[in-house]
Amino acid sequence: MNPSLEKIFEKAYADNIDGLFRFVLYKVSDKEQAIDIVEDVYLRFWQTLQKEKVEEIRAYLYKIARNLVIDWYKKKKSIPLQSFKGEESENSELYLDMFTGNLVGIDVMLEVKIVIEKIASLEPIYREAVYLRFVEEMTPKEIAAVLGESTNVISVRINRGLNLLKLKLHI
Amino acid sequence: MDEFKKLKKIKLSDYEKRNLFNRISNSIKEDGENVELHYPIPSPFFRFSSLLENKRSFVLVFSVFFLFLISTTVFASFNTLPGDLLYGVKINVTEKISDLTYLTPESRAEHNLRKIERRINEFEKLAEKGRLTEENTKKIEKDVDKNFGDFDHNLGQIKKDTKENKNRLGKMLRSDLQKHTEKIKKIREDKKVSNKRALQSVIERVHSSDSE
Repeated sequence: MNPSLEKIFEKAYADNIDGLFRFVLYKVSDKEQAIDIVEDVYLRFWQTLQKEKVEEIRAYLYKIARNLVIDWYKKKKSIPLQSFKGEESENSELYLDMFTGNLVGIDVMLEVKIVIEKIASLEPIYREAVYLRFVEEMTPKEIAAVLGESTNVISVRINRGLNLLKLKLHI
Repeated sequence: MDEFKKLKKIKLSDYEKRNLFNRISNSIKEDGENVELHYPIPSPFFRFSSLLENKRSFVLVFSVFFLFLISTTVFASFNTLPGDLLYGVKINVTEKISDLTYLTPESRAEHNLRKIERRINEFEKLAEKGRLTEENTKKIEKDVDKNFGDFDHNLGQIKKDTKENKNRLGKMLRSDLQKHTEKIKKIREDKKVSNKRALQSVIERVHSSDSE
């Protein structure tokens, strides 16, 4: 067994676990489900590492996470795919209960809830780009790799999305 | 936008992260992989790195660090002697700041007196350690003369109705200097000491006060 693969894996875990968990939680609104999906992400990442070299590890992990979330929504037929298709969901409100995070106080939670709701109210094409750029601090190139678009398209989406978000947040 | 940073506070606890890592590690082993994964323990510095991401925290951390640096430097300078690296801090920073805390002519004169005695003690310590150079002696003499001048000036400002204080301070100066006169003379007689008139102003001061 190549020991460097283990080191790569361990580093990928340490560097991305917080962001990946947050990203998945933001999409599925269920902490336990988010943990399960993140576990799957890393298992798939390990399998890929065995076969090939992964250049952009962060973008790769988020791409797997995004695909797994889409699969999860498809399997869970009772919840439609609004969050990816663009229609407004009746259950679009994100509940505070989903974040049982140990580090977050109730005052922070309320502020977080407002920001999440505002981002969620953006058009889907802007939503993910804005989230990945400003919350996960990814570069447009990395976001382009996650979403399968060109860097230029992503840059435009980020700018437009941010302007719309500023209007919504009255900044 | 600070609003985005608030979202970053959502994360798994260390315990949950470790549990999840173990789950992944066990799943990989169950698949028949002969692999030993170790939970990556973050560096103790990394734990505090989030403090530097926020502007306010950064300023706070920097200010605390700056205060700590200043206070340790000032504290370390207390027992320095002329020729030491931090002696300049003692003379130009610590003592000058403490000068500002004395508001009345009496208290300022008393402070001058203490500084003169401190300089004489430094002179004696340097002699004991064999570090009494011409340059160090000059530094001490310069500060002693300055404090004599300040002492006289402050004494002159003491009001007539508190003349008792003026006399008390004069006596204090004389007795303090007298304690050191013999030792200064002995040091000057030492063959290693080239300046045979070192701290002459102290000796002269004692003589002049004796003759008064």
